[in-house]
Amino acid sequence: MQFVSIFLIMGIMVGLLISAVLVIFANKDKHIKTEYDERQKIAKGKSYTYGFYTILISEVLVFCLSIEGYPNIHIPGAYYHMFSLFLGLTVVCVHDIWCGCYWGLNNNIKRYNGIFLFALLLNLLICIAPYLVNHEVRIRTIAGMECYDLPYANIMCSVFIIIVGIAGLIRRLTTKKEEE
Amino acid sequence: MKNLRLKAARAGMDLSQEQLAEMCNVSRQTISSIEKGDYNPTINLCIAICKALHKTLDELFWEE
Repeated sequence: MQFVSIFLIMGIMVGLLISAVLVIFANKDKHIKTEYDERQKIAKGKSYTYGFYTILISEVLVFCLSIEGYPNIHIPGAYYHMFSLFLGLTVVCVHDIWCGCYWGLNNNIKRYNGIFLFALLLNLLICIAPYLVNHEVRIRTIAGMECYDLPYANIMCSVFIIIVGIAGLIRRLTTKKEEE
Repeated sequence: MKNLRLKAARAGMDLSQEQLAEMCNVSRQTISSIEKGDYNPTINLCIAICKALHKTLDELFWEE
């Protein structure tokens, strides 16, 4: 196992741990599980279905790319899989937002928004840090391929949060008329 | 089909969608979807709404 993989697994584990703590903090009842009503559960089921098919199709495309050879844009091949995961996740979240089931019954929306903003700022800081330190984007060899030395996971995470934010904003504007 | 009787009963009790949703332990969007006719609630939710608005199932959900 390469060091990159070990760090990636460790990063995911730390991320999951932080997420669990944040979910407890952001839920009004301090439980790790978010509660949804019956309509939200049905809508979430549809979201997961669309997300599953998105990942399935994108993974088939990534598989084809891995056979044919990745395009020469200096991005490590492993991150194409991560991109496909983020794509599926984005589909799930945007559909959830559109169906009004992104927030559960026991969620404190203001706290959630704060956490999202904090996560976005943190990720953006990590994204620009290499450029601020080196004043250039370095190139290094990963799995025999020359790649830009960038925090790809953080870049994808930032884009994901921005898309979720925009979707939430659009939904809020379109549903404002419904509210009394 | 829009459920105008539910909307009228809610307005009659001077409740907002948010308040009714809280009384029935569902989200505001779910109440909005029921009023717009986008979602058919289960019998349990229908009963919860009827209890909250002091109405019968026939009065709110029976289509004539």
